[in-house]
Amino acid sequence: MRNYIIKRLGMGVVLLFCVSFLVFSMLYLMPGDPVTLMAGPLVKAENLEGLRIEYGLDRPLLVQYAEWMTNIIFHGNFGISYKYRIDVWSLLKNCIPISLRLTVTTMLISEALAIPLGLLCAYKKNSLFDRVTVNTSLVLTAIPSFWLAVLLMLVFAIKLKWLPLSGYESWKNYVLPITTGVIGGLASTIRLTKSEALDVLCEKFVTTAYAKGLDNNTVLKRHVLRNSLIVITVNMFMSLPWLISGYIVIEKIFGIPGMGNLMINSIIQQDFNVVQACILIITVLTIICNILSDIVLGILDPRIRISVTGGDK
Amino acid sequence: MNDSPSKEFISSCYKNRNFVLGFAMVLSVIVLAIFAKQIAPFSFDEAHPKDILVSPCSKYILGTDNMGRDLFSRIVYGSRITLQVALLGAGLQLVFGVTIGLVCGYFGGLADRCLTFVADLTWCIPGMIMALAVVTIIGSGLTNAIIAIAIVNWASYARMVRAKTMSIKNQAFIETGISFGEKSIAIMFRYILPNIVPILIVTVSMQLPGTIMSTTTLSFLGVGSQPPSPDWGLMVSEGINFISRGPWLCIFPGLALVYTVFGFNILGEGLRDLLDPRMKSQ
Repeated sequence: MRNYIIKRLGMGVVLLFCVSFLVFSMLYLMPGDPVTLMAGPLVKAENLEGLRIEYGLDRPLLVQYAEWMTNIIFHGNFGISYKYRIDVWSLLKNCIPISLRLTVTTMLISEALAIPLGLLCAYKKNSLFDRVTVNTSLVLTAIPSFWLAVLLMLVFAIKLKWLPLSGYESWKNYVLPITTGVIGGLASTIRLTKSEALDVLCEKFVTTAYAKGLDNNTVLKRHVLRNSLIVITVNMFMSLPWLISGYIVIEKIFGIPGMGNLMINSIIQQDFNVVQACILIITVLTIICNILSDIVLGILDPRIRISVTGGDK
Repeated sequence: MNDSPSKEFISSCYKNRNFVLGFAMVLSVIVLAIFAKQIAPFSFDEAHPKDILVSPCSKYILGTDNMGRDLFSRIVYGSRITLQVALLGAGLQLVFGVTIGLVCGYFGGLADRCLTFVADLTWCIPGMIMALAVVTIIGSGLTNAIIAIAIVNWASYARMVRAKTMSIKNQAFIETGISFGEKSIAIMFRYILPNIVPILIVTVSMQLPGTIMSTTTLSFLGVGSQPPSPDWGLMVSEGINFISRGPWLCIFPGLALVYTVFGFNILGEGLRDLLDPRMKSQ
């Protein structure tokens, strides 16, 4: 087990460095001079050389990268937003909790709904319930979240006037965004749970369980549910960062000042340092979630642990 | 009864309900796009300053927008953009993914390991974030949005083609080809590629709805198509500003998008059942 965790963590660290280097080099991949990008369009041409030395852009790329990383890791310094003229971190630190709160709530509600539905579909395969659920989720996958959000807004905020249109002060403001997020993620989780449970139902140990005389309920609860939950738990971890990126659209529509809204506005206003910081944070979060889910998977399922470390526990 | 394989295939197509329905839906969008000029009563940017935000009526079937442009005509012309996204997007992803997958799978070695690592890397970044990062680098616009989505999606094609190539390249007919003196390029494209085509068709049709959806979402966010383009995503985002006075501005373009994506979705499911029985859904 220890070897497995060390192996996973090592891979994760390598990935983290690669991704952070990619995000760092975005500045150099962009057309145009990095100095103009960092300083903004208002700086005069004759001051650019001075700024290049001041920002340290005349040094080798790897030195700059090392400095950028140490600034972020040890000082939480992501640079300065040139649009707001303040520290990027002070912008982000208000946004991150809002986004996290939204995504975690969405994830919990969506799993709580999708797992029972998916399991029921698998247990009662080809029943009316199964077909209705599968077809509904097929239609749901064709609905883009931005349109769903607009429809919900139209019905509940404009026609019925039950809920506010946008803002972020009271809990009422969060009902529509979370509903949009939940419906958006529901279909894929239902499908995953169903196929996972169906796979387990075909396993030999299920036949054995029936053969030794266990009743249907016990087999489903003790053998099928437990084994199919392994992949589903892992999926929960993995879906978190994807949800954050999915919330870019939802935050923008409902005017929630989360990370997604900040990011898309910064892209449109070409506020480069903010975009870079957002991308870095989300990708790092993704990689951490991936490592965590791998470790959880290893703990829950010894077969995977052994296949990675090659037999020596 | 004629039992030639093609006839048999066509009759099994008729029997597959998903395929027939999906094909009909996609075909209707294609017809809309080709005959947009004949179907649409007005041009997509023809403004009628006197008829601003008119609700659906007999002259304007789906109403008009804040500049007095006919919504129905705009949606009809928008189908061209959606199909352009589908064609260009799938084409780019295919060219990237298939070439890289073939080369990696056939030659193996260091290049293979590097590219597999890059593909793994793209898998641990959420697609939307990566697309937005690419758009930040290369700038906004529909073509750039399509390129961004292709950069996000090529890896799944490459992965699939690579795995298939590795399993095919050890078969006897490849060895025969090599002993005939065929060059590596010929082996890859004339011997291996034709064997991957059916599964490629399935992959393309499964990926298309996602490609359309992500590109439209980029347009909705304002980094894809720019006004006055009748892109459905852009139209919904413009409509939000008038959501209480003209809800039809948001509803109908979105409905058109859902119709198209759903059509491609079930066409893909149907094709998968027809061409690749092993991947059949449970």
